Amino acid sequence: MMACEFFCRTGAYLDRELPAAEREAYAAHLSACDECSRELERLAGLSRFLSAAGMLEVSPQQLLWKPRLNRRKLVRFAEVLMAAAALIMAVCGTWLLRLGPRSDSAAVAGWEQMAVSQQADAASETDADDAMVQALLRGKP
Amino acid sequence: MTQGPELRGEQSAPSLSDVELLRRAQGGADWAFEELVSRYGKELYGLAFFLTGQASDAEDVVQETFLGAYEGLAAFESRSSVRTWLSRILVNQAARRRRSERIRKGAPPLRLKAASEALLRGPATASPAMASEIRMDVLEVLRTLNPEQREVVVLRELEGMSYRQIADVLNIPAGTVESRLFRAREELKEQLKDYLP
Repeated sequence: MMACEFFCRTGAYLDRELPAAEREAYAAHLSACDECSRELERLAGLSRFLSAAGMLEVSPQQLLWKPRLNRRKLVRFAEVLMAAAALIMAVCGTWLLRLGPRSDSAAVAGWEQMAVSQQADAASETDADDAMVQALLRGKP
Repeated sequence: MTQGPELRGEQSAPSLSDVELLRRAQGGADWAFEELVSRYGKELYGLAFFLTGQASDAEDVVQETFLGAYEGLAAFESRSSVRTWLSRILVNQAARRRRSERIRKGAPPLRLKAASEALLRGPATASPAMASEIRMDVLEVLRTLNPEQREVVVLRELEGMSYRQIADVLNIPAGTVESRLFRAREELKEQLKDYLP
């Protein structure tokens, strides 16, 4: 095998990759060399078989849409994240509102009672002051 | 999404060259990039399928390739063609994705379908009905190659690229392409010795 100096260039000859001078020399050699002729036949069969697999059927539209789909997926992912964050905030807010008013109502009620009693005291003091002022105005202490 | 050119009274997208589309995409015209996806999607999917050996992996690799190309639009220089540029990104993505290589060394001999056998033995044509059977056989055969050999074989035999184009895609000298192809074909001949003339 491979005793012939041209043998290893058979593939390049088949692929039309030899420079013009080498191609002519190979072609001239081919008619006189059984080994290279058989090799050319084998490589041609191999090439027929491999190239017959050809291009696969795929819709360009399918390929066109998928990169967009990936971007959409990212947007969708961000939307889901935002929705989850909003849900957590809503749950926490509801929890705080339910907890908050109960404790605050007691504090406010106490504060309100104190404020109301102070207002009542202030009102009674104001009434006494008014009576004194009226008495002074009438000249009766 | 920016408006397509036809809406602005300019040249229609299909009549623009790859480089012109890429320049417009660099300028922010998404419709131009979508035209490139439409032009090369099918071809890149085929390349990805035979490099990865899995339809699902191929889809992911093509997606990653286009996303990578979109993000790297500014980096494209006209030193190579758009096809070569996209193929280079895809080959790199497929290599990154490569997990466990299952090379069929020492495995039982391949059992090919009659359609594949006919193609290997002599001049024959494959009908579309035979395509899926042949494709499965080709996938099995490609698994016998190491990743470097598989890349050159797929780019040459299935994509029909020249040695110069393969060299650009893989960033290797053209001479290395020829030597890798030679070794890959020697391996394939060994695997398929029962079917070859």
